[in-house]
Amino acid sequence: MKDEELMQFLTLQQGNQEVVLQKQKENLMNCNTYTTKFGLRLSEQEAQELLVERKESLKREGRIEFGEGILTKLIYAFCDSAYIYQDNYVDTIERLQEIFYLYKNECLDEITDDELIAYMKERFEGICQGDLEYLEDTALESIARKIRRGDW
Amino acid sequence: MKVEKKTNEWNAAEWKTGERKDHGMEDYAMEEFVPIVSKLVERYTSKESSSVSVAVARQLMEAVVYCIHYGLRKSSKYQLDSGEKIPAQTAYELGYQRIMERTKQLNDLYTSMLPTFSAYDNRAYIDTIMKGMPAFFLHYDVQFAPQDQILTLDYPILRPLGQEEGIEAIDRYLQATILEQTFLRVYPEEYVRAVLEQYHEDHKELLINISSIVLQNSLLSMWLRKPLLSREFSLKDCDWITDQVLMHSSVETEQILERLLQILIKRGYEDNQELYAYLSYEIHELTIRLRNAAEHENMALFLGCMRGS
Repeated sequence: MKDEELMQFLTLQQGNQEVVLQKQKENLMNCNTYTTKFGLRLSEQEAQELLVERKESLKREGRIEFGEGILTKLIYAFCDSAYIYQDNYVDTIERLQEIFYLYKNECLDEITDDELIAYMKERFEGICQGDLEYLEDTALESIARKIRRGDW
Repeated sequence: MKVEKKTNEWNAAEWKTGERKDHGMEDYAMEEFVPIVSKLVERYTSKESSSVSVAVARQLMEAVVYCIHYGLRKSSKYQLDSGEKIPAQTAYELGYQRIMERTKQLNDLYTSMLPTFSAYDNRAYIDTIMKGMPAFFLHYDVQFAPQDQILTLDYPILRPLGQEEGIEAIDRYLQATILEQTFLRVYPEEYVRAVLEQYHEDHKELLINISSIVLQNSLLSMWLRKPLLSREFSLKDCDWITDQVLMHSSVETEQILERLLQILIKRGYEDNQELYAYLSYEIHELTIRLRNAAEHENMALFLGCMRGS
C-alpha cells in the first residue's frame, strides 16, 4: 500500500465516521464557553471549516492524527492573544494549525505538542507581534535548526 | 479459546519445501487493526503527540500486522471455542507475547551456540554472528518494529531467507547457522581451512558459504571414492568428474549427489534428517555449477585442480 493510500485509509477510519466528526465539532463548539471571555466565538459552520482544513493540512504535511487532534489545544492556547480578534479568529487558527503540523515535521517529531504550542505562542506574542508569516518563516526556524543539530 | 502449539519451530519438511502458510490473516479486515494502531501510536508518542508522520503510521501498522501474522503462523488454531476467530486485539497481544518468548529463546540458543562456533576467520561470518547478533538482541524493538530484523545478515546461508523478516528472519538464520555448524564441526578445523584455502586464497574476505564448499569437496571425494578428507583433486579426478557429469543428465547427477549426501548424513551425523533436508537444498546448486564447469571445460579451474597437480 502506497503512503498516500495508507493516509487515505487511516484518515477515513479516523475522520469520516459520522459519530467521530460530530464529537470533534462538539469539542470545538465547547471551546466557546472559554473563548467568549476574549470576544471569540466559533459558529457551527466555522467549526466545520476548521475540521475540513485540519484534514487538508494533515494531508499536505503527510501526517496522520489519532484521537481528538490539536485544534482545541491551539484554541485554548491562543484565544487570549493580543493579536487575535473575532474577524481573524478562524483564519488565524487555520494558519496556526498548518504551521504546527509543518513544524512537527521540521522538528523531526522530537518536540512534544505542548512544547511546540508553548513556543509558538511565546514567539507569536513576542517577536512576531501577531505576524504569522514571520512566525512560520523565521521565528520557528531556529528551534527546528536546534533540534536537527541535536541541541534540543 | 483453543490454541494449539507446534512443538518444533522448524521441521525437516519446512526446510525441504520452504513453504510458508498464511494462517487466517484473510479473516481480518484492515479496519480491525486501526484501533490497535491507535493505541500503539499513543504508546509510541507517550501521549505527547496527537499526530505522527505517515512513515511512522506505516511502521506501526506493519508492527501490528506482523504480530498478528506471527501469532497466527505459530498456532495452527486460533479460534474461540465457538469456532469464530478471536478479536484482532487479542490476536495481536498473543502474537506479541509469542514474539517476546521466541526472542528470549533465540537469545538463549545463540548463547549456547557460541562456545562451539567457528567462523574459520571469515570476516562476514564473524561480523554477522559475533558482532551482529548481540546487537540484534540488544536493539530489536518488539513493540514498535518487530518486522525489522535490523541486521543485513551478510554471511550467506545455504537457503536464502526469502520473504522472512523480523524475528522470523533471525530465527531461520540462526537455525541455519546451527545446522551448518553441526555439519562443519565433524571435520577437523585444519581440513576446513585447507579446503577454503584451496578454494580461494582470499576466502576470509569473500561472501561465501563455508559449508557449501566443504560439502562440495566431501561429495565429490565420495563420488571419486577417495578418502573423505581429501583436500585436493588431481587433473585426472577433474576429467573423471567432467565425464560423469556430461554422461548423466542434470536430474541423474542430482540423484547421485543426493544418494551420496544420504550416505554422508547416515554415517557421519546419525542420520540427522533435519540436516539432510537443509543440506540437500545445495545439491541442485552444486549440480548446476558442475554442469557449467563440465560444459565449458573448466572443471580443473572450478575445483582448483590446477594448483599443485
